[in-house]
Amino acid sequence: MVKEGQLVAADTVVARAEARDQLRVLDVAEGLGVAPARMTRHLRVKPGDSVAEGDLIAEASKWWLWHRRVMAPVDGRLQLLHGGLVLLRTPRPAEELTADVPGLVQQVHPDRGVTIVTSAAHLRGSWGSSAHGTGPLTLVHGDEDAWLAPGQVGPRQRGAILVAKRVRDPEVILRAAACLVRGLVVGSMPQPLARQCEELGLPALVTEGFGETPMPDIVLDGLREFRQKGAVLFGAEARTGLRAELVIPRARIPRSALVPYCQVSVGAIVRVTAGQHRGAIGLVSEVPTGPVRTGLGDWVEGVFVRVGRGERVFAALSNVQVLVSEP
Amino acid sequence: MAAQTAPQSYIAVDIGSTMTHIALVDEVEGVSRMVATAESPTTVREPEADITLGLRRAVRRLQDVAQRTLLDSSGALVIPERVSGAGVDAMVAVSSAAPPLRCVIVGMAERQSVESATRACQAAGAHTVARLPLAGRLREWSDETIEALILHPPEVIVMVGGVDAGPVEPLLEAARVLAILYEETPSEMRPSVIFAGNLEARRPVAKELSPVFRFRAVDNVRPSAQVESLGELQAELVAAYEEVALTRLPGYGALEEVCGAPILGSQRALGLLVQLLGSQESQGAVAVDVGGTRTFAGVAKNSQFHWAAVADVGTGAAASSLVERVGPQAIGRWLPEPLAEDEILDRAGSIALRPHGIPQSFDELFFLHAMARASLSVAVGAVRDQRLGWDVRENARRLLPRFDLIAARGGVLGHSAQDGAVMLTCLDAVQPIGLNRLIIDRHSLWPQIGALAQVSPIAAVQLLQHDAMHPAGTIIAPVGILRDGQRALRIVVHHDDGRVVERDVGFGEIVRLPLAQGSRADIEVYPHRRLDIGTGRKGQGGRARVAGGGLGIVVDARGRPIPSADSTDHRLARMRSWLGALGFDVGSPH
Repeated sequence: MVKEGQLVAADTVVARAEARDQLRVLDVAEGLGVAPARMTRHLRVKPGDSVAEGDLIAEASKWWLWHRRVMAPVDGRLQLLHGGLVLLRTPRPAEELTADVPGLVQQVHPDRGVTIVTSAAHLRGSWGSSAHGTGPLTLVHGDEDAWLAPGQVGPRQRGAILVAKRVRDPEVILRAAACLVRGLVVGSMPQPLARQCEELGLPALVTEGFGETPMPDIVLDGLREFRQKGAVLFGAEARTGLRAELVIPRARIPRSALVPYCQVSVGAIVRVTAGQHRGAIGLVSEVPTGPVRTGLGDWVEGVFVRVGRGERVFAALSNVQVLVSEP
Repeated sequence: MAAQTAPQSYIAVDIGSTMTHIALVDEVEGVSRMVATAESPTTVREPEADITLGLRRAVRRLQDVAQRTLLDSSGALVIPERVSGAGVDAMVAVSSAAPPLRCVIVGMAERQSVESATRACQAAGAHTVARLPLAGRLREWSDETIEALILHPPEVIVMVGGVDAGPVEPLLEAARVLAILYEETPSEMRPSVIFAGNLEARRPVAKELSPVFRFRAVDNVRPSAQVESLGELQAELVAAYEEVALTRLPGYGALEEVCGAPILGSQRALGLLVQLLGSQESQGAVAVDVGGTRTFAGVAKNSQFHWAAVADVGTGAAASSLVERVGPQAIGRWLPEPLAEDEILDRAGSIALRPHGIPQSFDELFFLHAMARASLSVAVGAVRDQRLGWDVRENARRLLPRFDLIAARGGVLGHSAQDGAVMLTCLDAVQPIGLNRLIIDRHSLWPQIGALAQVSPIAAVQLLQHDAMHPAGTIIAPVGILRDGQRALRIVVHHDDGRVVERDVGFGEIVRLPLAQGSRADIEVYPHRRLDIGTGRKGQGGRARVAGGGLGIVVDARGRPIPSADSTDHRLARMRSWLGALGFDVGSPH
């Protein structure tokens, strides 16, 4: 629906897909009370005919004793199946894909979609539901332990994407869905709540993982710069493996920038994702040239990180996530 | 015309769902040896979505480790090997990176053929998304059925039903309905159909379906009510995985072009290796492989090979679905410290989110091994459920029959320096009986060796013998149950250097007797009169010459099947003592 080089707005339709027919099987023989092999003699329409909802498809009667009819439950095109069954094919409306972010169409991928280039701040979650939402970012402080409480989610938050350090109360999810909150971005939540978000169709993104780890201040401070700005929460895609992402279009890039994959070097700010210091944020102080023996006896490549009150810990490369690359 | 020399150097590749493992194989003094290995995260998912990217990263690492140029200036693999020594002669590859096949089973009667087909699909690592029984008056062509078939089309439809020489018409009716349902679906989106039902119906069903679908026919899964035959259907599903699922991997085309042979599914390649191992042992071999998203168990005995590769069961990205399937208790029961169910769920969920992470504390290690046990229990159970007609007594006790060799591999089993943890996991999940040896695939080579065997059997065997089997030790495990603490057996070890070690082992204990790797010793074992050490007779002693390994000789006198604990405290105390026997200082909570 768009061309390469075209400027688009967030609500521009960029692609349209013809959906497959909806199929409905009718057991006409059962409906008429006749043997499957004899069903066709009772049809009042021909295979290939189009019928409207309520049209007569077949009827049968036995003298004055009974008279039965089968009507079309939906509009559709009739096709014979077998054994007294017929198939109704109903065209579905086409599905449309909107840009969701303003920008420039860089590339059109035939039969797939488009690549749009935009200037934005971007946060990729470690987990997210598959639902999709847009709205202004609203930061919620939570209680003294930084838990988002049910009382903090209500009609006033309708239409917003809420950001909080962490959540554990299922009531929060229920209220968010009921009050039409457009998304939830937190550091962590218990896994049953993640399932609840998915079932209720609530867009959600988690930065740290499942459990109780709060969103680090460095991430929260970055998001604070965009409070009340319009954002898009793209849901996770199981088919492609794409994780949920929060995109704030036309935003100046904050100091905190998530670097997807790079060589870790001294001075980088990293998050440790496993071990005794899981969830800790620290500064890389040393990158050994070869593997290091861990407490478990394994030889692994990794880095030394200063966390907390300056404690020096070793983390395997696969157990660190770079938050800010070296200055 | 100059004669072509056979390839001597290879890069052998295994692209898993989580990690890509590669090995450089070359001739050293005339024998094929592993020169170096490397690994890198698999890049099948967005944003990279090209398996060759992860492969190229792994090759760059391999260059550094082996100090050998393997890529040219444009980043392409150098094939064949140059006079300078750069590059390799060929590359062979296996993969399990594609998601499991989505299958729908269409069958005659819910309990028999459909159940058998379900077992075959599970064992082949396929997902059964729907089962559609067709039986007489049951009209199963509901809206939900249509949705399962058309709106979210499976990759394979498995049609089963009827014993051989049974009625044909119901199957034919189902075939006609399927053909009509799919006739307006674009051909590239139509599923394949595998017919595994009544032999009499094969030809008429083929006539109906082959104009519309890619159609294959295999042996009836239930040729008679008493007989189940799953092997051909399993094999066909593996072939379908290779032809349909693997070929859809992003970057597959480029990889196939470089390789000197078709890319095999990892489970096929591993199966070839297991059969080779089993053929070399008088009592056969059992192999287990715990991956991130799939767990394999295979049994090769008496020239027969039975296997199961269960999808969505593993210790990486499938950690959450594993816990959903078996329940948090099935994980918690294998931990030396109590853990709330919520926390088990959260931990498994976090592992699934970061499948490339490695354990850095004993806490994390034990949790991973607990998941490995649960995964293996599912896969080993799936093999047992194949109604293999093994020894009736062992069947009744839900035990595998006696084997000589246990071969273990997979991330949590293969990559750990802690042989003790791997040994205990295998003992708990496989529950071997009698005298066994445990070997571990420390270098992640076995699937690649299976692929290499297609190109150079000699290189494959040499690599297996010299570099691919880390001996963890010899296991002695008597069958039977006694009271805790009762003397289960006496073992006498006659070392080659003249030392004699004699030890009584109490029931419920695990005892380790050192015997270094490369060493051998003669042992005598005298069991309690109610225990069988694998001779087939209770109380009968035995002698054997055994090999050493990382753990030496391990006597597992916990009985078979391993009895459950009376209470949580009892369970925790036992776990700690078993872990302690195998080298872990668990002690008080840490």
